[in-house]
Amino acid sequence: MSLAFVILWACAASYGVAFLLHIRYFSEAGKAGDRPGHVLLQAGFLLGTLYFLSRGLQSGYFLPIVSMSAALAFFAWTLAFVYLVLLGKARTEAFGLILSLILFILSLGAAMSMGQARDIQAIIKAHPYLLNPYFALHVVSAFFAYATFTISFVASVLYLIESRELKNPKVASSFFQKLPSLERLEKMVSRPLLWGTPLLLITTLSGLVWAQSAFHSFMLLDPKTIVTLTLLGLYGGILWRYWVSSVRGKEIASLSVISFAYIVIGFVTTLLLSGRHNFL
Amino acid sequence: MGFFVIGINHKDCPVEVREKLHFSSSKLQAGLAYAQTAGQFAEAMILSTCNRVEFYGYTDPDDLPEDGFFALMEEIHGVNRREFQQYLYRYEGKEALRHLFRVAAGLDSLVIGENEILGQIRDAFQTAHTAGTLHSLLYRLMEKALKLGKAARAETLINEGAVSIPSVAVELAKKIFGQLTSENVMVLGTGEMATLTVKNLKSAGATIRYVVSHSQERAEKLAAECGAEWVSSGSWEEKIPEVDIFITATSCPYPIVKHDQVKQIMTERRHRPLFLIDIAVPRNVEASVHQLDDVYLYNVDDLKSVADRNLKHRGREIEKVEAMVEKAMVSYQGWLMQLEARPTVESFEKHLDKILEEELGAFAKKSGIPDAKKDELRDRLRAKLLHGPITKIKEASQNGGVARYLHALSSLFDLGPKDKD
Repeated sequence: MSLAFVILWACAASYGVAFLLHIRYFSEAGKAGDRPGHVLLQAGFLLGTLYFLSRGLQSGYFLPIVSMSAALAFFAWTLAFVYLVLLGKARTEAFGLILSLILFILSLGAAMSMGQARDIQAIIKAHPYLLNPYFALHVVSAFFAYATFTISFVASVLYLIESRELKNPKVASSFFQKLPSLERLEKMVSRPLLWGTPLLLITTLSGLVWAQSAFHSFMLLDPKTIVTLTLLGLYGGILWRYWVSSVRGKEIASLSVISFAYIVIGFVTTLLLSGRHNFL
Repeated sequence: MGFFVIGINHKDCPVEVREKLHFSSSKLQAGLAYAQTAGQFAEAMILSTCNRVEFYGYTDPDDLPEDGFFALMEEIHGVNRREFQQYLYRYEGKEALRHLFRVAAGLDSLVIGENEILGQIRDAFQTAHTAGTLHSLLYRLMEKALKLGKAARAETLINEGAVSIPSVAVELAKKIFGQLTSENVMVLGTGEMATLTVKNLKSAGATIRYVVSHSQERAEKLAAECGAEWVSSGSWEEKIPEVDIFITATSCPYPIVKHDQVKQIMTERRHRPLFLIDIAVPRNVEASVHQLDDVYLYNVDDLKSVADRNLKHRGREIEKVEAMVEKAMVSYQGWLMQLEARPTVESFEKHLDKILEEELGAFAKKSGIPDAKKDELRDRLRAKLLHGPITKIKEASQNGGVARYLHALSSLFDLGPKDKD
């Protein structure tokens, strides 16, 4: 049993307990507050960071896309980074509840599939173009872009729930009572979009440059490239509506949910296809 | 006699009587000064709010010092006892303690769990302390009551959720806009409920921009109070796009805010949320406005039902808070018992010291052991002999039955008639 394996399981456990503590806070049992849950989220994030450091030191490479385990763990880490570091001041209890569940599922999946990970050094030897710096930029920016879109999606769902409950406060649930204000949620919808869309642009551009240097083709007809370009259009459109047309509220939240649904469908579809652009 | 409370409150006493007996700041000072000089009260504190007037005291005589209380009320308010004595309640000892703790926890309030009473008790406590009418017993008791009141609100949901129409409006506004800072408010009508809602919103941080009313005089008065601008009944429509919170409370018999009008406004506002509070009956806003995205419309029934639901939620917490009250009573009574046990325990300690000094002194002289050794031996023996009885007395102070121990101690060692049953 390697040290990285132990750390990854500890990270999953930390997120799991954070989720349980958030549930306790939401269960009307009292006024315990979400601080313990938040502290465990932070602990999970630190353990996730330790995991990548130990993996990097062990293998000498850092490539989170060559196995499902590494990809899930890295996605969980970027998600926690965006929420805890970039959006640290905007944290909310309801958000912590949903995010801790997502992080727990991702890190648990990473820990459970760790045994199936392939030998990274053999992969690098077979595909040396993976060490191209444009490829590293492509991968890292893609993970961060999707993490920000996930955050925006969660905020959008909460926004739509709260908007619906506010329309009929007579029957509003206790979950509603603990949701942050619509205005705060709107910031959590829009701010990640402002970061994520330029990151997706960087992902696309660096990917095109890397594909040209590695395969002498921009791979424009590759399904993943098509999905990414469509997404860029969708999120660009939302940003346009929000920042230029100043449209707020339910419309932006709904558009963010629709765009995220497209990400999930695109991801699942392209995962089933094989090709040079599929590393998992 | 000990601790007692005499008072009137909102439950039985009508407001006409309560207002006659209300202590203003100057009357409160005079009342406490009177209590101090009257000689019937060892300690005193007066709690006077719009819902209650209560006199808390500690006294040595066996009878409740009711005459002293009536004399005080007559002296300060010029009100004869016949005008209010049928509304009076009187509690002594344990019941008085329970009453005070229930008041502090908000269980005796008109609106269960309300926070204001805790601040009012704190003020009454400070005033009495400054006036010098509080000593160790009431001081400790009031500290305990304040601590309990704070804990009840922090550890249970007894004060959760708004329970009046204006405060529900503020709570919903906060749900939409977050902390109210720059949100603009316009109010149509200057009725009591509208005025209260506006004042609540203002104290929550919103900016009252426009007051609209047929009655220029009333509108200008409210506008001046809130730092708003008066707008005539003919020109309020053009102001709607500028406001985030719009309160309608006119006596108009038909809707004056229409669906299409709000739809147009929402396009102009680019769907920034709009909060409409329609507290008029008949309603001033077309009900279909509620269907529009990002428009949150509430009528008086909606607000009332939220208030009722919150009140019901508070009701579920009563049992928990009652348990906290009982626990606080046991703790205070334990402290009182320990206080009462102190003279007997001190006599016993002195008795023991005397025996130890005599016997160990004689032994030291005979055996020639140095004084330091003798003192060390005495201290060790003293600690060992006292540990058991004192622990038992402390436990009995908390759990009851201390009088039995004190009596036994006193009889067995002939400590004299100092302790009470």
